[in-house]
Amino acid sequence: MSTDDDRRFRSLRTITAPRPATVVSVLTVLAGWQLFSTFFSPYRFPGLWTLAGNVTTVLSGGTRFDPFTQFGATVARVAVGFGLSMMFSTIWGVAMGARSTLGEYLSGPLFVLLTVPSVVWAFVGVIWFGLTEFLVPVFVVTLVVFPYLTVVVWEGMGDVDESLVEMAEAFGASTAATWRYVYLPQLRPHLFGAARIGLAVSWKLALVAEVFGSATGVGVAVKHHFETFENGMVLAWAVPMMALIYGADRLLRRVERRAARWKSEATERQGALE
Amino acid sequence: MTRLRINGATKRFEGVDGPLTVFEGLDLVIGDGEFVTVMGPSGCGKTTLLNAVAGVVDLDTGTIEFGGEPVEPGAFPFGYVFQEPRLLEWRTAGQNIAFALEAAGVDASEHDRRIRTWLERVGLADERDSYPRQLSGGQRQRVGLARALAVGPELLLMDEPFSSLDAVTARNARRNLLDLWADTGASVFFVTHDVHEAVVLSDRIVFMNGDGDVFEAVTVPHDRPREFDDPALRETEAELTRTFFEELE
Amino acid sequence: MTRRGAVAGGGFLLLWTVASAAAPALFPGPLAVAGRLPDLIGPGPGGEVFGHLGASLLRVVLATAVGLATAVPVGVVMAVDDRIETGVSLWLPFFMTVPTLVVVLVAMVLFGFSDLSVVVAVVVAATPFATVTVYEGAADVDPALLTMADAFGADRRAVLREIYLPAILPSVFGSARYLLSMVWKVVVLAETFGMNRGMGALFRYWFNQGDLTALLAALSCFVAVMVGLQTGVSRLEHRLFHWRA
Repeated sequence: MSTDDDRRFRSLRTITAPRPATVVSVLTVLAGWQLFSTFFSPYRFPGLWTLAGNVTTVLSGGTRFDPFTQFGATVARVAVGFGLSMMFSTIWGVAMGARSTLGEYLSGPLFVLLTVPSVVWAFVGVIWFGLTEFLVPVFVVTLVVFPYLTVVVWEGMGDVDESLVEMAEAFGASTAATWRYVYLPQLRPHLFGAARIGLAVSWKLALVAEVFGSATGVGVAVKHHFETFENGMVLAWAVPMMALIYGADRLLRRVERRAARWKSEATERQGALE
Repeated sequence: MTRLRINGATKRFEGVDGPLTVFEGLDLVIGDGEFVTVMGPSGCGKTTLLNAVAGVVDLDTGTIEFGGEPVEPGAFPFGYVFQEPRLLEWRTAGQNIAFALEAAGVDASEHDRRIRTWLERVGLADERDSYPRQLSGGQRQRVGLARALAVGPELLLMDEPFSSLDAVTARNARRNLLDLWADTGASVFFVTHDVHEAVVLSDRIVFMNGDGDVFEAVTVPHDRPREFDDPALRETEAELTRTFFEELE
Repeated sequence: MTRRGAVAGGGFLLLWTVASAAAPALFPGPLAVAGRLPDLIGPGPGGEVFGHLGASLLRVVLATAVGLATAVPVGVVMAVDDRIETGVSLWLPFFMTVPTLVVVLVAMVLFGFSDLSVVVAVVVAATPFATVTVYEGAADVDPALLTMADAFGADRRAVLREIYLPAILPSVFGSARYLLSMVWKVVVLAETFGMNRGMGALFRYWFNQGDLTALLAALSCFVAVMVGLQTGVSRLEHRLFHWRA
């Protein structure tokens, strides 16, 4: 009872005004950043205004790199690598969960694959394919993200309630219906979780791959500014991409919440009933 | 006429110390429209027996006849009410029933009518669009019952369906079940460890001991409709409780 | 476990051999890779693999310790105080999107090509995730126990020591294991840019030589140490917290 009240009260508060803790937190971090920046020259660590100015410069094409080409290339690579990883991981994770022997034999190799640093994949990719538009970044993203997400999906399969599968069997449900109505709804939160992690990691890896294996992309711009010790510009190139990924994450979360309507509505109505 | 006949059913599981016999050479008959309860202590294999009839668990030996014809387990019109309701939490009460209707191959045009009818008959006409989490434990169990009845079963399998409900709710649920049973004319294969429940509900009670052997079968000598607090019923209950516990000790 | 490991390992070696027979330029075979081990172990610019491993390991241990020392207090304070939880949680999605590479490069520019840069980069890039792990463990504390402590009038100190500490110890360990696996990657990435010693530097050397076989040999050494280390840590964890299972 008291927790329900608390939850309702809290949700009410977020609608009306930001909580004081939020305001304090934002101000503290921003002030901390500004204070830290005073110890360095604006090139090496930009203050908030300098950084905002730099971001504007980057976005308006004021550097030697065209923003549309670079951001476009990185977004496309992240999208392809992430999409491929999600697809493979879902198939493999589900297969490993459904066939326990497959899971037992493949978990070891996946675990080993996970210990390989992303830089090494980038190096191997470049030696194999040279400087490429898509191949090396997608290769790196897929090889690192795929085993990770497979493990997440595989673990999700372990949470499937067997008694519901038994129920479906007793009522004579077809395999397709059992997957669609019994397995998939239970896997959905795990798939969303995997997607959210996968998206964030994909972008970080695409950046690493671009530094070594590509002639375009945010990674190339970042590397150039690093070599001239311009941290202000390094950060300015990262910020728009981070905002984009953050937006995509918010979008995924919203879709996830909509898919889990049956959960949230339940708590709300229970609170109203009791 | 018999509805269900189980002949020489044997089930063994691989235990830690070799095979574990759940039951062996078990025979059971349920007449047409008859309400039969299998009574037994926890872990005596009652649920396994129900699952075997439903075709969820494979029998090692034994055959099943339905309406006098030999059939594969589960290959006949039956409904199943589980101990815990086993509803799909992400589907509304109505959609949970639709799931079973679709699985049973009921024509889609029939779905709406059947869902409405059966939710109304278990007293949940207004909860069609509610999700299981919005319902109380007793209401969920009633959705489970409506789901089992909606597929038009000739045999209803029930695995301690009221054991997790409080006394008052369980009592109302039993009353509701008897009404529905009288209306549908389906046979019921009920499993419980509660002597009172067995006596007020059943035509016949079959007693199993911890080794999965049937040691007693009695016909409940009371006319219907029954008053749950009828002293005569209470007396039968006391008598059967004695028989039951003497065997178990 | 061993039989399964043998089958999986054997299958992997077989696949590798077949692939190398089909395209030796792309997939140097297991024997070819093993044949380069003496080059790696011996002296020379691309050798001294144990020295490089040691240098990386030292940074990893140092960074993990600093990361843990930050994550544990912050995580516990988050669990105890709702306001701090709100303030810190606000930044977690932001930290999810900060690319490790940018953190590494910025740290290098600020603090030079030194161990300090590596440690700073690791703390910024990896600590938030470890903090969440600790927080989740501490937030898992049974509210009924807190009510009980309150009913008996236990003071804040006693509550921390008797209720929170036992609850978070396993998650501290879990978070250390997690940090370790993440820290390795940040350290190697950092070493690739402008460090002279460490596995990242060794990888970079062989990449610059365009020698895939030696690169894979170095990778094998690295993976072997990583797998050994992580297996050791999970075993230790299992032994310490087996009462929980």
